[in-house]
Amino acid sequence: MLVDAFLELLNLWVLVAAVVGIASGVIIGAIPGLGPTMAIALLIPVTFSMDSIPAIILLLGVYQGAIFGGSISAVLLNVPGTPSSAATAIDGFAMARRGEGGRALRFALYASVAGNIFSCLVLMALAEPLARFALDFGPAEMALLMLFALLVIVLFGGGSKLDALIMVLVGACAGVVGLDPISGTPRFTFGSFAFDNGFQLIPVLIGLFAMSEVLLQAFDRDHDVSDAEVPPLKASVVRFVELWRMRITLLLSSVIGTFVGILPGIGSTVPAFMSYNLARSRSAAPESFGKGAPEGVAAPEAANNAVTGGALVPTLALGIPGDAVTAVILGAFMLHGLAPGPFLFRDHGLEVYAIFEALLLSSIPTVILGLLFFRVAIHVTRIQPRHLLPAITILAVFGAFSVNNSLFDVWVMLGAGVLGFLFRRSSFPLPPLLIGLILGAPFEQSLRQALLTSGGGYDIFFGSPITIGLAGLIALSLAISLALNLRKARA
Amino acid sequence: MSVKGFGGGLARPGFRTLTTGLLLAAALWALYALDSQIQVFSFGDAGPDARSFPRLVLWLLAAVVALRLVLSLRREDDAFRLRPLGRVLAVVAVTILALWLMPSVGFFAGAAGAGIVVSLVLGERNPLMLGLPLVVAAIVAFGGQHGLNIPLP
Amino acid sequence: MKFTRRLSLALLGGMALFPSATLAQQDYPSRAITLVVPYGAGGTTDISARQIASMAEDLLGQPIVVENQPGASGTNAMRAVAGADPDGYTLIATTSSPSFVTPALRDVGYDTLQDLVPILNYSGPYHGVVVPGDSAYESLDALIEGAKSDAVTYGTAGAMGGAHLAFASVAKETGAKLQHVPFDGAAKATAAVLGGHVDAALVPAYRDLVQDGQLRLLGVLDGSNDPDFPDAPTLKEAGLAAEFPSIVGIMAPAGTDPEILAKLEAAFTEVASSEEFETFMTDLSQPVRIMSGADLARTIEDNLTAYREIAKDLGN
Repeated sequence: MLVDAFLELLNLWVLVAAVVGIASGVIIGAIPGLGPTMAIALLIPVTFSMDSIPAIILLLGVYQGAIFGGSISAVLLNVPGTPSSAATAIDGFAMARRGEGGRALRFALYASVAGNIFSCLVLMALAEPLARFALDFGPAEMALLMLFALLVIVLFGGGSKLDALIMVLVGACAGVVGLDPISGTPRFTFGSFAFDNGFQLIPVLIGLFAMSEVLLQAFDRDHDVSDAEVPPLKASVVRFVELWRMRITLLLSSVIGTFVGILPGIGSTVPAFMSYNLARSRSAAPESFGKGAPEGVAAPEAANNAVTGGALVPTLALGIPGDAVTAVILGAFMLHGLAPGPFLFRDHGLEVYAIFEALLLSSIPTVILGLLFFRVAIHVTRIQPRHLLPAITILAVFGAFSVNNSLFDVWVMLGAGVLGFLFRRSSFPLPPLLIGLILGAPFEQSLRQALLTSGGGYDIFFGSPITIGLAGLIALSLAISLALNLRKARA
Repeated sequence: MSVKGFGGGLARPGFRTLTTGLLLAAALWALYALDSQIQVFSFGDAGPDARSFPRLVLWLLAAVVALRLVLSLRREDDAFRLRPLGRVLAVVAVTILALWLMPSVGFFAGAAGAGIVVSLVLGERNPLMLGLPLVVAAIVAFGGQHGLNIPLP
Repeated sequence: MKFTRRLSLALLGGMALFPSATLAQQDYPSRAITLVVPYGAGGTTDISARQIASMAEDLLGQPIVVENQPGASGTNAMRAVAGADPDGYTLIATTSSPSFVTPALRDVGYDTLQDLVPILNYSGPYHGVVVPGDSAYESLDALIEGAKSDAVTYGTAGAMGGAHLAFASVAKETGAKLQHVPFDGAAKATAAVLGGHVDAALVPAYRDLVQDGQLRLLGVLDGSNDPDFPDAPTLKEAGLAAEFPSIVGIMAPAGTDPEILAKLEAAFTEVASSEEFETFMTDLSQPVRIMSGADLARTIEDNLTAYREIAKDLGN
């Protein structure tokens, strides 16, 4: 089966599709606001006339490429191209400011590939059993899992826990605006239709990171005409030993990414930050994180790319997509006669395994294309801010608009930009705000769904082995954090 | 980004105090407006309704922000400087203006205008380089409209 | 189909015979037509609208540009199209929810019947009542009977959707304790019923999971049977006075010239009844269900009234 599937790939069109897909994905992902969903939706009509295998390989190449592309702008400009690369920006940009942008990008690239390969192997070997396992996660399990993720962000993010808690709560409050997920009534919409949809993640992200950067630079500019100092570019070699040293981090991050990817509705931003925090607390030198630690680039990149394989598990094995991107991919599979669901592997095993093998092999063009792309992209760090920032302003307006084709989102972006400026100036951390916005509303929804199914009884949160395990994890992380604090206080 | 050391007595209020104070005010106002902003229809469902979670989160937020204010009273803050703040306000104002006008003048004119003002604020004095935002806006407008099929205003 | 083609020929002939018709209508379409899709790019509504648009381009002789205006479950786009110039150059490919479900519940800023004219209906996925394959409920009756003693939970794609309202009125009528659990999209509701976290779910796209035995189809919410499962009764056949007909149709702003409307209806009907479109929709697992503009208007009107009643009962 695997050999037959491989023979299907010996076709020039497959290679062309993979290269075109990855390249366009990387470019679209690097532009703030444009993400994999849009890129894939745009290319679906292009694939109408193609054979099914190259068509799907093209679209999945876009998916992987876009997730990675987001980290290029995160590292070089401190402007994450997609929400999932916000964690990469922390240490990646710090490295770029030291002139090590090339090294940071290479770490990101190799970690991405590692995450991809891991999750793809999991997808090939265990798609059906894992899809069954994912179904065991009902509302109660999801609520506890999200609570755990929020705790990890607050307790192990480094910096002040109180500040992180404030930011998570601000994010959760922002998530309240819009229609109530359970009863459908408007909340804090001020009677305006525009608010019904709530604050969308991408405009807020662009505002918090890109627009606030413009405002910060406007504030910080001290001299009137002289050029700002540009760090000299340093050699960007990454030796294999350096990657080998972080093998455990890469593995753990890939596991987190794949696992969270399998569960519907959490996405790739949360596992990226969880892996970052895990890598930081496992590190021998946690204080180097945030100041340009290569591991702080590799961990989130491995995780957010591993999400792609994980998210395909329920999409393909059950026909149940977990988020917008996989929903679009599901449509593409159907259009090419490969209806995802329980019969996919039985009826189209050959095609599916050929696609999986292509996903594995596409690591090779990804690395080659990535390295080529870096040669050009790295020079972005040498552009003067006063030339770069106007362009970022224009792209921010464009990116925010393109999410829903609505100007309201651009206003949200600008508001988030002003808030982001205030928060960054006041040294409040932004990542917890992002996580609070992403998880706040789903957490409330899961919580209330669980209580609806249990008829109001809180025992549902201790009713299954998974919930008990998650409750244990929550207690454990609280205990560890407390113990660490006590030790620090005594020292 | 300089919050360091403990000064003697109360520190001069600055960015951090301002932000924290704004958050506290917002949270308290939202708590006050909660009942009028969120209607509750009862289906006889058990458990929390549409108001419970926002109320809980807002109370928590107000509490931790108040705690933050008290804890950092004695900490030195990042003081305001008026001239830079003026530049920030200029960028915000011009972006607001550009967004306001965008439905009538179109994406290209609005975005290019905003871009030019931003580069002026950032200290660009070379008239040739002021054309850069024009070029970027043109590329983005054309590429978005035709390449990506986005109906820009 | 023959009839419609003859109709369109007759119309074209009629226009040629009577040059008194204004120039604008004769020339229509003289430039690109915009077809708004109220959901994001890449969903089934979007993909099918793009297909019908690209096929109709050949008949109308002008490009049809598909424009996505997602947000607020489709009401934003409906409001925008309702306020657009009624010149036949702005159309919308819309579904049940923004046509007659949400407008029945709250003010959305437009009135589907007053501000828009239906042109035709071309699809509409069947929503099924599904339970896990090993569930004790073998039929709709058994489910309702079971719910009279113990509460039965059911998941849907979201709060105040058509499926929710249909079952809420069933609950009211039969006195059954049907507890609604809204999810964020039909996919998550399907996952929840597969995992046994809710007792039942009201979702589309159930075919393969039912054929595989992972789910059991008890009935459909639509007005007619799903051709893939002719034995599954509609709610009405099962003796329950509720239904949720699913529509996917094309509408224009009210006030559009009737001749333009007729031309559009003829062109889109011809495309939608072609074999090529049928094959395309089968690949997407979507049915082709053609209904004239007038019939679609009647369906919307009936359901708008019915849903207003249900909402009134529920709300207060």
